[in-house]
Amino acid sequence: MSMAAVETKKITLRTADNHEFEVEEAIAMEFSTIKTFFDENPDASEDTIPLPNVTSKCLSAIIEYCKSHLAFRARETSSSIDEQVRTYDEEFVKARDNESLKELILAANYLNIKALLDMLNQAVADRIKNKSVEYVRRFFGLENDYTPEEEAAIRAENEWAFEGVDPDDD
Amino acid sequence: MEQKTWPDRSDGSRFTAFPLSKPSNGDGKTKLSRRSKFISKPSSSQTDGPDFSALPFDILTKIAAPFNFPNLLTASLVCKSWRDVLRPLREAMVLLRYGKRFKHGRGGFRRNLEKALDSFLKGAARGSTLAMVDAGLIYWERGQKEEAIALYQKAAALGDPAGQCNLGISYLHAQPQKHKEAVKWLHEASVGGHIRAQYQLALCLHQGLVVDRNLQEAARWYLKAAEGGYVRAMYNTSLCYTFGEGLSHSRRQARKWMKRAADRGHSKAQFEHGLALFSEGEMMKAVVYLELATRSGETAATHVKNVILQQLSATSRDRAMLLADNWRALPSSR
Repeated sequence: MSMAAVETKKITLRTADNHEFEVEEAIAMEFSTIKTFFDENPDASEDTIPLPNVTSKCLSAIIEYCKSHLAFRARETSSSIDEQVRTYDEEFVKARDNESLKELILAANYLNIKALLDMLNQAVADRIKNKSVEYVRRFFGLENDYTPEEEAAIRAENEWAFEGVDPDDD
Repeated sequence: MEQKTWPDRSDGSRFTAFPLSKPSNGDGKTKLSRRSKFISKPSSSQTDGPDFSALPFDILTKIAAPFNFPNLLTASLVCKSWRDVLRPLREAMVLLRYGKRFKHGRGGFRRNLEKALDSFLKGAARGSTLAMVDAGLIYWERGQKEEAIALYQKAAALGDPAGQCNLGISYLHAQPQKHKEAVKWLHEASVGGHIRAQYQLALCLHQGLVVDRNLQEAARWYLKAAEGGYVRAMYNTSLCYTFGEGLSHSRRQARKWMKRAADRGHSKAQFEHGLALFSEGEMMKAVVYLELATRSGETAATHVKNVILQQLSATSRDRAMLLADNWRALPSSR
């Protein structure tokens, strides 16, 4: 019995919490870590790949992201596509709490998914730039573990930066 | 802080001419929203479980790579682990400062490009994209284009808009030209708010360098750059409004932007604005702008200027010249 249509190759991934995910090869190849593994072990494509550092919740989100971005990329570049990508990314981040985001960053780093990692890093950066220290702590749920002396020390160490003899724009 | 991005000489080339074309109906501009938002739900304060204070050092360093010093300090003050991770970047800031002083010869330092480059490279090695860009600039000015591009690529990959802008521009000048990459990086930088990149991107779109000529996009970016203070963009924006190219025809907006460009020293704008004032009967103001234009080399302005001068009394003529002598350009982002 022969198939008329071309079968899309599927790769099986097993998460830390023992769920198995079947993903299309195209999506698995977005994970550079996996791509490299297959490049070096071309016969291994039938095996299940264990991902001990990634939970199923995390992996679903990642798969969803990669699927959407692959679809965007398949379309012609235009500014309206760019706009849609940006909106998608914003919503993606907005829908997650800090804990999930941290997990996603670690997973994207581990799996080496450049686009996702860059996007998440930028999102974090945007939440630090031009904000107060208190805001950043609150936002990321971080405790201030500085003693007053330690904090004063670091401010003093860096006071030179605010002595303002140098213009900003050269 | 505004990073210097590119030596001016590259601008003298083919990109400054604004092609005249027939008026068409432009649509409104699309709004660009790039702010991403986390949900600020209170995160469970935890001793176990993922915690941003334990963000891997290489990721935190990457995130903070394009930060200026104030932002770097904020991040350093958040908690001690972040402080420790970000130490090399703080050191890079010190090196950056020394580099700038050597480059410009100030703060008690004698100008020394070798030492400037050395400082910048040390800062770059510690991960600061600001230092990478400044090192790249020195390499570029010396003609070491490959070294410059390598540094710009690193900075661009880390999300530094100045690095992205410079990379885009160097691709425009590359042999053979790499227009597609140029536009890609200029677009990144533009979205990141880099004013000069916005202008350069608008030029590319206007010229139809990569995609088909896209007047609406071009006009949108001219306007953005103009709003950011870029003088040439102000001039081009004015023309877009005058001819209804990419923007809805509007005499009022055209006049507004032409005056802004003129007040910031754009010589063609001074000519155009002078002509407009002349046609409105504002002789004194007109002749001052036309005199400024003539002084900047707009020979076409001379004729009209002289026509007006002949109509003025000697006192008024003197006053006009005095106004021109004392005129100073308003600040701009170049």
